[in-house]
Amino acid sequence: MLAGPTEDIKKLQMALLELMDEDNKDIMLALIPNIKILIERYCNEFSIGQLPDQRSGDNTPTKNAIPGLQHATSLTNKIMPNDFSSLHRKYELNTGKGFGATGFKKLPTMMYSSGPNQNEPPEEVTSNGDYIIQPEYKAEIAYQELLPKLLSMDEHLHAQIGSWRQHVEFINKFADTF
Amino acid sequence: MPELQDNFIGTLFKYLQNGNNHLRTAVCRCIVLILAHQYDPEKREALAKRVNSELGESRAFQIRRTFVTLCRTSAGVLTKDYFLETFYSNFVTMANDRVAQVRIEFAKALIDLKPFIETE
Repeated sequence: MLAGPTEDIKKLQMALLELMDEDNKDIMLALIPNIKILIERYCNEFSIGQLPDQRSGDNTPTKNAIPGLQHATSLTNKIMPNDFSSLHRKYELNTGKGFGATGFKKLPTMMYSSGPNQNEPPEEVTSNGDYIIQPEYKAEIAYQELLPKLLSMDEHLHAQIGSWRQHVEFINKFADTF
Repeated sequence: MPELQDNFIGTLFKYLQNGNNHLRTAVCRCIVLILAHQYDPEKREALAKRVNSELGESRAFQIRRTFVTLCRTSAGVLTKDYFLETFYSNFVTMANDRVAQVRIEFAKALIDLKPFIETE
């Protein structure tokens, strides 16, 4: 054991994550026999205790989580990915086209609206304040950094020809940690 | 566990389609363990439905055979009631499958599943 349950293992965690990022086949194969222990020991009491009881901000998915949903911030910025505003009349400001002397003024397009429906009763709105992390979910927060690395390692293993035995071993040991 | 299911299940089903028998067996065990540890009932139901539709009702006999392996793996991991409610009907239809290899796998699976189902 490299560290006790109450020792700071941040550097060891970083070292493991860096090793998992390596494309070197030998490093990956060296990690697999001990991957179960490495996953189980990735967090200890100290690292879980370091996590705050509350997180600030809204815990609902943000607009940025969905690519392509964005505001047209200016009149000149009309071409956007996944823009459905192609049916808008292409009247430019101050070109003499459209209504009046200065032309039709096109308002900035909003691509996505998650506002409340006026015809429905108001629902409970999630506040932007802090939210509490339950103690049983703290370990999941701690493992958030490790999971993407494990999945990318799994894909690398699958892509390598002739390493299917190691891949099977990896999946079995990974499943043991659930 | 919800994050794991969201990010990993698609890959696991891809391995079931493309992998060899050893990999399929390992993936079956992995899926059963995810089912057993999934605390979100909606996600668990969605996964069970996907297993039934993509494996249990597949046109490819290798995949139906994999479904039998998955049922065999679930003995002792999932609860008896959940297994009977979710996978049992599709599992029993494998007894009359048109491909002999699936029926043979079914017979092998009974060695583990019959005592599991008959326990009180």
